Amino acid sequence: MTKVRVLLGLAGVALVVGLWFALTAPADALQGEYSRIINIHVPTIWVAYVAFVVTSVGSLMWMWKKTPKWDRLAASSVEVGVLFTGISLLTGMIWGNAVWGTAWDWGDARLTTTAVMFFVYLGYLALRNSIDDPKVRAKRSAILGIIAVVQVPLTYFAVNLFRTLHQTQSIRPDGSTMPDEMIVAMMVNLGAFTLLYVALLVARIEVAVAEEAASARDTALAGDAVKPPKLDEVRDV
Amino acid sequence: MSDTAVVIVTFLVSYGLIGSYAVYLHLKLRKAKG
Amino acid sequence: MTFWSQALEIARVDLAVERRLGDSLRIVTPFAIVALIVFPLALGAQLSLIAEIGPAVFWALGVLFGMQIALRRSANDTPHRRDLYALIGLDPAAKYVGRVISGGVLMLAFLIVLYVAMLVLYSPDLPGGATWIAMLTALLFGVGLTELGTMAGEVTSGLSNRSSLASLIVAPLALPLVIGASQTLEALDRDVSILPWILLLLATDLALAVAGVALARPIEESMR
Repeated sequence: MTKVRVLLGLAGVALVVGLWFALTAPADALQGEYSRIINIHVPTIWVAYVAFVVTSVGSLMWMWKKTPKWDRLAASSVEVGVLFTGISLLTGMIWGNAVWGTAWDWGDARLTTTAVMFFVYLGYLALRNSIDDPKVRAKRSAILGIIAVVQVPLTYFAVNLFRTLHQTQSIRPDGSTMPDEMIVAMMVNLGAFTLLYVALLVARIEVAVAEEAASARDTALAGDAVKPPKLDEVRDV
Repeated sequence: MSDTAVVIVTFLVSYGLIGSYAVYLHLKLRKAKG
Repeated sequence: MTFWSQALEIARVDLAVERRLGDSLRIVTPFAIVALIVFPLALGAQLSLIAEIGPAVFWALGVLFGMQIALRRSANDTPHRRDLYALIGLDPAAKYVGRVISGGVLMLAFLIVLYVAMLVLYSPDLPGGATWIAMLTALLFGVGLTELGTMAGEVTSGLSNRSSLASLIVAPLALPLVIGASQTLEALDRDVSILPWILLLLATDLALAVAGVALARPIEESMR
């Protein structure tokens, strides 16, 4: 059993356990069944933040050490992070619409920053997709990774400041007043999704390694264009 | 759509997206290994 | 040549080239003004609403079209130009600063023209001193957007999808600038302190300047 399959298997089991907790915990008095969504929404956004921090670390380490493993780590973490960010935004919007009547809250710094991160790292993936040369790709991705690290916190700060002029409701599910069973359910799911992140990250890195090996195989050797002369076609003059 | 139905669909879509990504990775790995 | 004389020389050459190629003022600016016209017609709005959204639309179009100025053709170095710069020993950081200076000048010109067009077309009800504050804000906003756009332009240099990809990269990262600029005018309107917003813009500009200078050499190396 490969490392990846073991991790994915464990993550799968953890997710099932988490799901069971999510579905059997008591529903919130006000929100009803919708409160269960918190068990996906919060863990996925937590994992997304972790993923993008990992990317920042990977980018900085690559700039320092220039070894491919850091680039693979950074890029793989972005892909998984974007997936989780998308799921978190989706579940958050469904929850927000059901409970508050609006899918979006402009004054919520976390929400807007999350959306910004989603598109920034989508751009990161688009950039990587546009560059064939692995070294150039690694360099440019690392640079974008670092620019993102600088700008994204500023976005959070800016939107927080924005809220001071525009009083909006920003009570998003953060679990501050939840009964114990719900907290337990969320913690279990937090653990499950973190394990899932690690599993998917390792899997994605494995794919990256395999793809690099494949392209090394397929790259033409210098000198292939030089063909031996077809002597039988040469006529004596 | 009832509340419960929306919640169930939300869970299904979320896990479905994760599962799809795992399958996608598996297919990519198969293709890379040739 | 010293760092600053290199930077100023780059800025001078940039502006000279731009005067010949002329995309920024001859294409982007008119396009932005057309966009100013699109909004009220698309909204089918009452005059009062149009007047209210004037400044907001100005900043929104400022960022969307302004980034095209930062990504202008004349700022997109061909491999030949890069080789030339390397041979003459141009400091990549000086090139970055020079580009920000020339881009900033073009950006400010664009924003001023757009602002005047907005005043004419939207007739917003602005508080006293708004125009001066708007110009200061436009300067800070423009510098930040140029810094961001210059870096994004370099990172996507030589790629066939450069214009769309660089725009996608710049847009979400430019949000602190949009928020800072638009909220400055709004704070002025509500008679609240504009200082936090000006500081936000300054902080963003400074952070991007530091990042740009620090990353200039790695960016230049990533071209090879």
